[in-house]
Amino acid sequence: MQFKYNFTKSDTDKIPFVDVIVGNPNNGVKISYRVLLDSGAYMCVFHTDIAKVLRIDLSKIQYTDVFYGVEKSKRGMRGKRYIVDLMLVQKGQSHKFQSYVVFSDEILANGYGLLGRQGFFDSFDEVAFNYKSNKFYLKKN
Amino acid sequence: MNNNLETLVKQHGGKWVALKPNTNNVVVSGQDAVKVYKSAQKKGLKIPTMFKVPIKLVPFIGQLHAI
Repeated sequence: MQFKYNFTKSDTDKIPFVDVIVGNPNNGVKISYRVLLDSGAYMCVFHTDIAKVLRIDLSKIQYTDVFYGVEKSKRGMRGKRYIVDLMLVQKGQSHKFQSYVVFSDEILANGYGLLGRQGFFDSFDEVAFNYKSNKFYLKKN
Repeated sequence: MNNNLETLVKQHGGKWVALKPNTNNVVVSGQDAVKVYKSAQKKGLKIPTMFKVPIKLVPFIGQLHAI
């Protein structure tokens, strides 16, 4: 199965957004969340507010993930890891899997939630970006 | 998904919005994601699409790595 998308255009850029359904496997609460498909991101990073909607109590998680971007930062960003259900749905087909994501309240106000390599890209057989034709797709055999 | 990201930023920058699936059509917006989600459900969206609208459209480098 293949999930096809168009880049979202802005004045200066074309951005690969995906609407992914995120579920809390412990209570069945689901949300659709628009995030950036980011091949440069090691893992998935979601806003902490999404955990609140899903009624996930992050205060019970002791371990804090620390992660860095390209900026000069000694402290890095911090967040809490949690296993959620992720699902893509399009034109009568769906692909659902469990994945850990990091919930962080340190995403920049100009930033986006991210779908990264560990926990998202690795759940597909092919992820392709065709920037010139304004399309990208994810394929699961 | 249509392509009026600039409009979203102008009208709802910094807020959570609940969107109709695969569109940029805003059903509810606000600062509190939980309230936005519940309000959107009351308006008939079973699973609202939530998006945190950036306060400004700037070149964004999303690369992250963990230690």
